[in-house]
Amino acid sequence: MNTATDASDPTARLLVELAALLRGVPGSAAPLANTLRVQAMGHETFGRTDALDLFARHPLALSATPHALAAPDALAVLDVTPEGRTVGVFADVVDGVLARLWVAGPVADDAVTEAAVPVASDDFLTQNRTVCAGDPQDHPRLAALAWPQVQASAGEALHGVREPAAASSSQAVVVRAFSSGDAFAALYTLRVQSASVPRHAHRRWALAVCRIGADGALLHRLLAVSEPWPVPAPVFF
Amino acid sequence: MTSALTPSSWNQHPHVRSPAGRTIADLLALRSRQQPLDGFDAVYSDIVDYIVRCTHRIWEEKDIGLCRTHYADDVVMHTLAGPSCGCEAVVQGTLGALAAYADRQVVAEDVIWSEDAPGLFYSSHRITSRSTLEGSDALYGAANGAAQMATTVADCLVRDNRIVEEWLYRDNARAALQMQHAPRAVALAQAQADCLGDTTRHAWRQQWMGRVRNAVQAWPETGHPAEGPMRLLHAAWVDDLYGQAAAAVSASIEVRWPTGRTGWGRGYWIGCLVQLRAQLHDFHFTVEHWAARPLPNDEVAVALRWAACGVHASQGAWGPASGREILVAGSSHYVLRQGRIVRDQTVFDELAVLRQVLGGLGAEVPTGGER
Repeated sequence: MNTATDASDPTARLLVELAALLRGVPGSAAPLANTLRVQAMGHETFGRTDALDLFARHPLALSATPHALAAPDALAVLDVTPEGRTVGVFADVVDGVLARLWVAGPVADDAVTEAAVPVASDDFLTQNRTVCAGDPQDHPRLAALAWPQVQASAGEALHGVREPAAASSSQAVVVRAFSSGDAFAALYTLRVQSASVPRHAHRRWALAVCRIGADGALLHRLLAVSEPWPVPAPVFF
Repeated sequence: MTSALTPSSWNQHPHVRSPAGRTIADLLALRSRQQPLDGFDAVYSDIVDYIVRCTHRIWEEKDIGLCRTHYADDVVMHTLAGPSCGCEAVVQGTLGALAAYADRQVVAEDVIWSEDAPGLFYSSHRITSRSTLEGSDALYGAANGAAQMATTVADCLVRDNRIVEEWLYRDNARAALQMQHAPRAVALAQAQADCLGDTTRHAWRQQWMGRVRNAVQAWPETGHPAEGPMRLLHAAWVDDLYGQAAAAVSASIEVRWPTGRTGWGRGYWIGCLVQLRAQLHDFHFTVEHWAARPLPNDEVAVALRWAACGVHASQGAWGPASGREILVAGSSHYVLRQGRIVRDQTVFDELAVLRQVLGGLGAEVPTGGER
């Protein structure tokens, strides 16, 4: 885990550019993919211009010394807002360009999720359920030693959801994960099933940044879990 | 139509890059020729640049007349609502769309291409376009400021700077919802109009379904990245072995299907496949074309153009069983990491499916069907 301060370092430079984007700086020169997809504040946007507009409406100020972890194709940032809330930011990076972005943090008052055709799905495909769906094979930059803690952090993320949830029917999916030295970052999407009937589910995002020892034991964990995202209105034809 | 080059050809010219992860300045920068493109305008550096740049010039720079030098005079554009023929139909359609939605930004998500014969290119161009209704739209009425953000896959067969055949699949039910219209009401009006006049104009649909029913599936050469996704789709939609199919995709798969369907994980992927298949009895499915290209960060993009048909004999997402034969044609773009599918973005026109369910596009009305 490192704190970026050196502007000549590529990671530090990317962090500066990410911070400018998140602050909603007009005319930000941050290198953004034209196809930038952002999932932040309960909004999903597609395209560079809509991302700039989103953060202009909902700026997010990073502190001067956020916890940052980088890989050639990813950047993970955990920070604490002035209000004391932990916020996680994860970016896919292509040749130094921000290509995709998630923010695990607050949800804006104007958040809305597009209507969608409901799909009946079984997240577990077995009665022998696990809270974490994922496979280390899908995350080639993740050290094998880190995988058990990636799974454990998924459990912590779900455990940290405050409202009553049907724990055995809720699940975290590992969306991205990578290691850097003795640290790793893991991005999750959480599907949280309510405990009451009728059963409703909502989605959250979570980011864990952890350090592990040479034996794989957890040394330190920082975790950000978003507020619940709006549930799409069902489309019935 | 299928790819027909040598086994190693899918990743030829690796310096011809996908638009994924590139800035708009990079995409619009002029470059020298990066691959042989005999007969193409000098401004185009490679086939990806041709697709992205000519789309930009026509739609965003508003030089619609360029369609006349970029489409063959007798081009056929296939959609699930029926084919249109001729370059002038393309010109007129583009003019109409821009008269209603002038600010359309045509964002190229990916261009997955192959060179199927020397000088004959096939490109599968995934676009998500943002536009605002500031004019008058035949379907959605007068200017109201409503905004669309729909995904389209345009598969084009290109030779000598001209698109000679195109398959265009757009997430039109999602667009209808964004325009504050109920897809079923829009589809019903279209279906009623389809029943007027000479209905032999809809013969294309029966012909297409006939080809699907009688298709003998061709397969990519061994080692082609499209082989895996094709086998998974066959395991699911031909053999109904959804669990076996899903076991070979990433447990973290991201799924984006038409009309807002978005989810993560194998269970959701199965859910989308089963939802479609469960409504259609006597189901037939075939992959009509495949292509693959390298992506940044050691990923691979695969494009499958497919078609399916069956009898709408079970209630489901499309409403009560109609008893009608339904054609679904679409395109699936997959991202492979370590050889496994980590993302499935599938596009088909669900509005045109509803239009068939509701009696349109020349569907026969069998006994026992209900509208």
